[in-house]
Amino acid sequence: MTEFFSFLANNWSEVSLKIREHFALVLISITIATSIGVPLGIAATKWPRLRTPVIGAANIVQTIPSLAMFGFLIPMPFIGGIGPRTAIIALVLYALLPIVRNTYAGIETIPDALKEAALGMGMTGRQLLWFVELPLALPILLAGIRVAAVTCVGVATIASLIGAGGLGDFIFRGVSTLDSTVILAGAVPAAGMALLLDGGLHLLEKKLDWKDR
Amino acid sequence: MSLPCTSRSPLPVHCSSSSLFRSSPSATTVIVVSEIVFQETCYSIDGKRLVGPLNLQVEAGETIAFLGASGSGKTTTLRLVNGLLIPSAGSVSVAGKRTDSTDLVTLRRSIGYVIQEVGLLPHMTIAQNTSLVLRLLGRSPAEMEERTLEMLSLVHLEADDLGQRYPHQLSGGQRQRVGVARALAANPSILLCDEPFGSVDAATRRLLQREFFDLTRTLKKTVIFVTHDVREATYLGDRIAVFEGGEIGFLGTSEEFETSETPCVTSLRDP
Repeated sequence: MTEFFSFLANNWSEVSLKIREHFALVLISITIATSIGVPLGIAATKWPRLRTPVIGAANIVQTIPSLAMFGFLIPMPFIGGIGPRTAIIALVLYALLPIVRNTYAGIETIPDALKEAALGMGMTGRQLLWFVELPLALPILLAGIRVAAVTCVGVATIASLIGAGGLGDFIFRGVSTLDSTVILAGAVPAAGMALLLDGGLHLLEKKLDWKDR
Repeated sequence: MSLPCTSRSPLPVHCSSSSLFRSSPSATTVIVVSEIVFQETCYSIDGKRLVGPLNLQVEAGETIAFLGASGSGKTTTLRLVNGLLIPSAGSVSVAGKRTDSTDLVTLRRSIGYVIQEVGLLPHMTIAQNTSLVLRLLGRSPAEMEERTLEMLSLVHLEADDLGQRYPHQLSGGQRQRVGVARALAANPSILLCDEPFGSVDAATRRLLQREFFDLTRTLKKTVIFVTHDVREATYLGDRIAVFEGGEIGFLGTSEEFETSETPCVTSLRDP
């Protein structure tokens, strides 16, 4: 344990750089996945025919092992290659499923009576979405983002293999040199980041949940 | 079986402001066009007829109670009025405009709508819920606030005390009152009520019925009130339409209902 802390102290500038790289990978991926996944989830509720293909495709992506996913993406023209861009694309694909699924579930679980009352008082489809569906689905939607963020923190460590940087660099360096201190220098901050994101988003969920008011 | 249209009864001039008035050349008589007209109206799903054919006129300022067992077509008929459902055949006209060829959003904003579960939005305060239709209509915050206070006091609720609370913090009876206040906030001429007092205890229900009766008579609203409670229908309705198998089996005043020997009436009145 002492070795671990002294490693952190002696290499803090590199550790903090890797933490920032890792966090940037997760943050950019989650932002992109949310801006794609929420509209897709909404579309699946408005056009039921989209539900199976959209959620099915996101499910299939989730079943691909992350190592294989990075391998598939590297030779892809335009989106592939080595570096953070490819890693972000893979992380976005992984983050989509919980976000799409929870957006869909959050809106679908709103009682029909509420939607009928809202339409009956003269809301347009867009007003129904902004005034009723999204605010009521928000806690479930945020739970999806939370799951996606925690997943991304884990998968992003593997992104080191394709030159995306992040805390995975320490983990793979430690594995190749059989140095558990270096592995911990990558794994502990990654676990801490996952826990912080999980806790922070959970607090936000509770704060925005109307049932707790 | 469906009954033919009832004759139009002359109504006082002071009935609903949005009623369509036509002055005669002598300008001494006023003819009121019915607010809601069902004309050979049918509603079907997958070829199965759920309602109709219906022929009915609801006059301005009148309260008509739709009475009948569950599944008899009362709620479906009600939802044909505000365009939540569109007739498969025939037509429904509201203030002279057919629901199948008018802007439904505008139509719905001109009609108050109260449902059994009330439909208060759980993430909005009572004040926000009450002023929601005004917000949709783009009214100013000052007008919304003033109208909210007015409406909540009209339904005997203390706006100062309850305005900032959320629906789940209110009793069932209070929520029903808020539902009525919200429906009345934009001063609609028509009020559609789908068993609004169905989920409260008997004592509260009687109190709400009395208040609702006074309110709608004072404000001269045209009301369609769906219920399966005979006592509620005869108390609130100027006329009663008894639904059976998607059609109107009886249409008449409360007095006529009490003395009618029509089987669908006797089965409800003397079960």
